[in-house]
Parts: sequence; C-alpha cells; structure tokens
Amino acid sequence: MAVNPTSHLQLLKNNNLWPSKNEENWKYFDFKKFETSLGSKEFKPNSSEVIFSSDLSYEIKLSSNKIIIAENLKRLIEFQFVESPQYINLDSKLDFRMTRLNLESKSLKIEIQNQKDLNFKISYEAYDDNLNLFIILDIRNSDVSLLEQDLVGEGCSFTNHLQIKLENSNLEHIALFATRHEHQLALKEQVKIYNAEICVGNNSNYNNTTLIVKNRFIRIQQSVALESENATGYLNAFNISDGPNFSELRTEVLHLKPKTESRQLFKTIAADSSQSVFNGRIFVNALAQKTVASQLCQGILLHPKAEINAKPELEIYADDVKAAHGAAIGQLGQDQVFYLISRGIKPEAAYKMLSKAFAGEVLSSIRQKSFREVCQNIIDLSSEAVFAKLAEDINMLGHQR
Amino acid sequence: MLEIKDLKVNIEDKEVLKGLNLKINPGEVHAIMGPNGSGKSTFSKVLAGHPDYKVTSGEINYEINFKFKNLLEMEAYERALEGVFIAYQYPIEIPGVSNYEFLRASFNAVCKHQGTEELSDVDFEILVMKKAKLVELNPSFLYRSLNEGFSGGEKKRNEILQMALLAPRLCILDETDSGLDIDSLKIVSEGVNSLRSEDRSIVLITHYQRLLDYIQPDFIHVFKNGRIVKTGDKSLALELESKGYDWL
Repeated sequence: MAVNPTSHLQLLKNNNLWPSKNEENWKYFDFKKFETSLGSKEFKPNSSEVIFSSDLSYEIKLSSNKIIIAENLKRLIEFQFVESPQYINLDSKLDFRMTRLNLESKSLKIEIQNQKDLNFKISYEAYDDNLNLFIILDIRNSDVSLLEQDLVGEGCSFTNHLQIKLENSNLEHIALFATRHEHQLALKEQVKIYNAEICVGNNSNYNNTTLIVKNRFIRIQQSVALESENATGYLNAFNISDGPNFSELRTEVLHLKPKTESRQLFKTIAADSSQSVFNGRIFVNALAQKTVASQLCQGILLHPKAEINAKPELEIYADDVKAAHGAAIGQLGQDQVFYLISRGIKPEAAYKMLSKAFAGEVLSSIRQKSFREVCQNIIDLSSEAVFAKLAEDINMLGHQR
Repeated sequence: MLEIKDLKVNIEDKEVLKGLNLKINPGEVHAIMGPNGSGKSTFSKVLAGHPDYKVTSGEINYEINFKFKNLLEMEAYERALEGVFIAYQYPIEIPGVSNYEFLRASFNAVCKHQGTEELSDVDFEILVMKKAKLVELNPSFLYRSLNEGFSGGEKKRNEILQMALLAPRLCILDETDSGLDIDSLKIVSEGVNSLRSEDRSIVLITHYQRLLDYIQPDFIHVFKNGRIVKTGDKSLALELESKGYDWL
C-alpha cells in the first residue's frame, strides 16, 4: 500500500500516537484490521462553519465540513469554539492517544444552563469521509436528555472525543453507534474510535446507555469521574455484532469523593466470527468512603467462532466501600429455546425473542420514550440480518434435530 | 391419530424407552402411569422433538390431513404447528419475554401455518382474555415475563391456557397435576375437560389416580422399564392405587 504522509494513520504514527499490542490497554485490539479499515483516509479536524437550520428540530448535525444546528436550539444553548482544550479526567488511566490530534483543532463547546427537560440530539453525518471531532458539553443547573447518534455509512470513519461537565444537573446520555441499514450488508471499511470523559460535579447524576449495533470496527472508551459527594454515574451498554466485526468497550468509573455511587451493566451478543471486548475499571480513591460500585457483564455467544472477552478491574483505596463485579458468558438457554420452538415458533424467531429479551434490560433503562423507540427500531432492524444468518447456521449449531 | 411402533430411545447412551407400542384414536383420552424412571416424561419429550433424546429405532406415525407422517422426520416447531402440544411438568421461565408477546407469536405461527388470517390486536386480546378466564388465570399474568415468578399452579394454568389458545389435536399433559392444590387441580381439570372433543386426543401422564377422578380416561397404560406392561380401563388406576406397581 502506498503511504500517504498526510493520512490519519501516518499522522498517528509520526506523532507517536500509535500504540503497541504489548500494552495492556490494547491487548485485544486488532491492529491489522484497524490499519486496513483506516486505510489512507485523511485526518479532518472540526469544521468551523456553523449553519442554523429550521429544517431540524432540537438537533445538531456534525459532518467534516459543517455544523448544522437547529434554530430551535439557538435560543436554548450557547455555542462557541475553543482553542486547545485540555483533558478533564486527570486521574483517568484510559488511553486517549487515538484522539489526541483532535485537541489541536478548534473544539465545539456547547453550553447549557438553566434548562429543565431539554431533549436534543447530536448526529454524526458522514459519507465516504472522515470525522475527527472534539466536542465539549458544559451543563449547569439543567435536566437534559441527549441522544448522540452515529449512523455513518460505509467508507467513512471517525475518531471523536467528547467531554461532558455536569454541575447541579442530571444528564441522560444515550450513545447509539450503528450503521446505515442500507450499508450493513456490504460493509467493508469503517473505523470508529470514540472517547468520552465525563466529570460529574455537585449534585449531579450521569445516566448513560451505550448501544453498539453491528459496527465494522469500533473502540469506545468512557471515563466517568464522580467528583463530588453523592454524585452518581450509571453506565448501561448493549452490543450486538456479527460477521468478522470487532467491538471494544472500555469503561472507567473514578470514585473521587465520599458517598458516590456507580452501576455498570454491559450486555453483548456475538454472532458469526465477531469479537467483542469489555474492560471495566472501578477506581475508588482513599477519600471516597461509603462508595457503592457495581459492575456486571453478560454475554451470549451465538456461534462457535464468536468471541467475547470480559475483564473487570477493581482498584480500591478506601476501606468503607461496597463494590461488586461479575461476568457471565455463555449460549442462549437451550431449554428456553426449546420451550419456544415447541410452541410452533421457528428457531430463528425464538433466538430473536430471547435476544430481544436479553437486550430489554438495557433498553428499558432509557427513560426518554422517543429516544428509546428510535434505539429499539434500529436494534430490531439491524438484528434481522443477524438472525436470518443465524437460521442458516442453526443446523451446524445442533439446535435442531 | 397416533401410532407408535417399537420406539426405542436413548439419553446419553442409556436406553430409556425399550420398544414402545401405542395407538391413539381421535377423541380418546389415554392416561399413562408408572413408577419413577419408567420413561413417561421421556415419552412426552420425544413426541415434542427435544434434541437431547435420541431415537434409535421405531416410528411415531401421526395423522396429518388423513395421511400418516412419521413425526421423527419433522422438526420440533413443525410438530407444534401440526397440532402436537406438550404441557410441561416444569414450564420454563423466560425473563424479558412477555407472556402475551409469546402467546401472540405462537398463535400467529399456527395461524400462518394453517393459512388463516392473523387476528387483529383487539380480537387477539379478546380471545386470550376468554381463554385466561377458562383456567381462572388473572389477566395480569399475561403481561408479566413468561412464567417468571409464577407459582407452580399458575405455571400449569398458563400451560393449559396455551393449549386452549393453540387448539392442538394431540395434547400430552406431563404430570400437570403435580404441585397443584385441590382447587387448582379442579380448575385445570375443568379447563382440560372443556377442551375434550371428537377430533382431539389427550394423553395424561400422572402418578396419581386423583387427576383421573376429574378427567376420565378411556384407557390407562402402565409404563415399566421403558415399555407398556399393562393396559386397562379406569378401574386399573384404582387397582394401582391400592397395590402399587410391584405386582406388574
């Protein structure tokens, strides 16, 4: 392959931002797949062209050449560009190298103040190009639901970094990473690297639901710092992957003050020869007495070649802490499958029902009804192909006579 | 309706059914009794098509549209669509799948197979409520996860509700009376009796004569060591109740 000196891949390597497989953080990362997927794509920093549009409703659309903001958000939200932003979770052990270049461009800062029940959407739009964004959300004295929606298509990629600061606020944050349905069957090249730093300040609650639906190659890192007493952070995630796809979710909850609470639930369904990784860290510093923290990972393998790796990490320096973690990976309950089949339900439909039930716990954590419906529809639509393919494999799996 | 010839079945290389022969005509009610481990539940699982049970020889011929077809050549879901229904001894709990959603999916699958139109949401709800009333199942159970947290009696009522809804032609009730209190047994039995018809055959697998007080069988078969060792009428159950199985 001819080397393009200005390609994103080359820039990462030239700036010592290319990790090594020997590093613990990158243990499961498939560098070969990543290089192939990233190819010779250009690095494209944030655009500074902002357009206000009355065609959109409570939505911000981000693409490599423009930012489109709904007119009806203009009155409710402040927008500005920030030069050289800094990382906010200084205790983080996550590796943000892959989005380091994004800090050097102008970052879009979104400020929300004194808004009660504001629901809005951030969408990433990309067709055959590359998004490399750095976005800052500063939320004060507000109750907000945000649907961050990535439905980029074939041939496009992104490496995004999102920062969220909460003060006296509640944020329900739904992050949906999917692929345009029409591109799913022929999906070849696609890379998504997404880093999020969330700083939960005074009297604040962060409630995240991350949905990872049939992505070619994705690595998500979420660092949540509970920086004041009684701050809470809840992370729920559902991942469904098929084909030869790779998905990795690394979470980190930093309990930095007393009486903070976190709960993590990660559910994944792996079909075909897909690989899925979950690495979750709970860090409790010496000050954070009376911390309550839990983490649970549940995985279902639908094919003998599918792979799920789960690695929980607990690092606790306070002595008055309730912390728990668990991981369970297996197949769908065969007795459950048979019960449904013996009532005339075809095997693929039985698998679908059970998988939907498995995902249900995560989806039901989305409080904002319209966002929940958007996510449910996308998961249903995307799952069709997974279960149609599964039906072909069922004989091999030996679930039928 | 059903003709079983020399059926031999293994579980993990252990022969459990050792040459079973049985004929059931339309409209008949047969009761199967026998000591623990005699193969009664294996018989029901084999009819359902459970993959853990390996048939080593024999045939299970089942009448479909006036022609006999070997059930063993049909997938488990196809058997159900053709009207074979097993009410399980231990109905499975499925968290996250609503009972109503499951009943609807099952009912729709049968409708589609029979070439009849699916019911509208409203009509289906009316139908399922009517059937729930038949077994005195509180409608709130329809909207809960399938069998999750149901008591033993509620699970068994839910099985009979499914039977009433799907209107199968061959019903095998595997120890439906086990774990039921007297009132529940009566309700479940009345539900089953209301489903008796000329073109529906019922097989009752039970340990106790008590169930047969409520659902009167035409024949009673005794299983022992994987075979039928005695067949008789209703009076055989009373004899078994007083003498046990050792004399057979």
